[in-house]
Amino acid sequence: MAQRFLEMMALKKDGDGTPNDGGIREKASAFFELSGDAKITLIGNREFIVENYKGITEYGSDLIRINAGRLNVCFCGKNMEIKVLTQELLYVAGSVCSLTFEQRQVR
Amino acid sequence: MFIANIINYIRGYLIISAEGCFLERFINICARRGILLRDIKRTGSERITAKISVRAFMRIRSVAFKTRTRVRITARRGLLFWLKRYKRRRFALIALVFAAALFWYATSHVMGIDITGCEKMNPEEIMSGIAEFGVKLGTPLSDIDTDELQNRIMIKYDKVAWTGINIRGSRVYIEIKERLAAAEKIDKDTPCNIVAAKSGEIIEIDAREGQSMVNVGDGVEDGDLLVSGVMDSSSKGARLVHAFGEVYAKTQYEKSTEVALEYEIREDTGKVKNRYTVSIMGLKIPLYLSRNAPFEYYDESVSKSEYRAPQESLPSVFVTKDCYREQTSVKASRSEDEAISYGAERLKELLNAELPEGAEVIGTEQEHFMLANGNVLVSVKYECRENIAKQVLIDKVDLLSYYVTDNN
Repeated sequence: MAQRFLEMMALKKDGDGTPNDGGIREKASAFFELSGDAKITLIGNREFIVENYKGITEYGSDLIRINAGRLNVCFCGKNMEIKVLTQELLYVAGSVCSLTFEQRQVR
Repeated sequence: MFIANIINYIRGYLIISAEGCFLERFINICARRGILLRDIKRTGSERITAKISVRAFMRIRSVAFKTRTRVRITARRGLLFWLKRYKRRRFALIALVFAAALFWYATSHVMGIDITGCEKMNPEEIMSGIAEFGVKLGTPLSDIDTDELQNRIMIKYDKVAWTGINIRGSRVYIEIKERLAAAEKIDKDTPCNIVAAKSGEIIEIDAREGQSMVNVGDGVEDGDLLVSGVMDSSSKGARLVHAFGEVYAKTQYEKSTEVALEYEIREDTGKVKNRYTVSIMGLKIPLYLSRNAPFEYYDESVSKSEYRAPQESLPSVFVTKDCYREQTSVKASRSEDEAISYGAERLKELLNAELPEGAEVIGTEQEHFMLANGNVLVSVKYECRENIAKQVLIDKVDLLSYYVTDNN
């Protein structure tokens, strides 16, 4: 199922360029007080998918730091590559050694 | 992901290289604007490579300007670019399409038929037989039902005891097992008669079991009863025995031929000319221009060789070599006696080859006649002593007379 989801994402047509930060989905989730945390799916230590993330803070082949709202999620490993990058999800493949959560300092 | 890769290839994509200090910001802005980036790799401290669609690349300029990133196209991939490259090379494209069609044809149709196991049967006979069933060079492999073909071959040819058919690649392999002739010997406990295997005059009878029905000097025809397995005695009545023994008779073998007094002697001059014909899938391509024979007088021999590629999906190439050896023709003549001895010698060679095993030649007769056309007709007759005894099972009709006698 994850594979099928990734294929749909890879075939997804490029958007029209407008950022999506005031849509119905976001308003509905805020109204119903749904969690705004990122969803991390780890497949062994070879791949991981991050959904509902805010952005990439740091990117390297051995370190990827992702802004997940209240937390920063830090993946350490080797030969990590971003296979698919969309507004909704981030799919990375490589050898993951560790996963760390860091508290973000909100200014 | 495989299907996604194929579709992306068909649509076409670019491999870009982005250099700058704010690459993470560049990636985030691309994501927020819906610009799809794939296979992003870090290739340096301030450099990444990524794959991007052609349409999305048009919108990346503003992002690159905003983040002060230098974006360059390092490669173009996809069916679109491939077709553009070959747009001016139409013949290459046509050749590619032709090669693809040829490949499809070679892998989905019969390219060769191999028949093995024929000892007495002619493989050409089997080949023509299966052609009637629709299996020949060029037949689609999907149309061949091996089980049905096996059954059809065994029904059509009585001499075939078993057949196996395998399709490997694009070749059909047919293995034949011929039926063995039934043993002529009858079991010694089974009652049987002895009949004449061929016509002749009886010269010796050695009936070890059974009742002799002929005498020395009798003339017999093929199938006549020689020794009966039905023993009829007044004391014991009729009983059935396994008749066996030997019956020797005088048999005759004769051949004749016409020998001309004026004839031609052909001798090789040493000149040889070879002509080759290449054949693929039944299509013959002669490698020579002239259709006429190269010499006035010649002797021709034909040989055929098969060249097979290691791939079983490729057809065999047959090369036929016609070898013409130039000869000179010299007229010669022979006397009547020479013609007679020449004819007799040839006939004796033929007769000796035909004689059955065990036949002993006891007499030879030779005759000759002069014909109106100037030729000599020579005939040679062999008189042989051979065992003509052949065992056959007793027919119930033979016993009928005994039952009638009993009833009476």
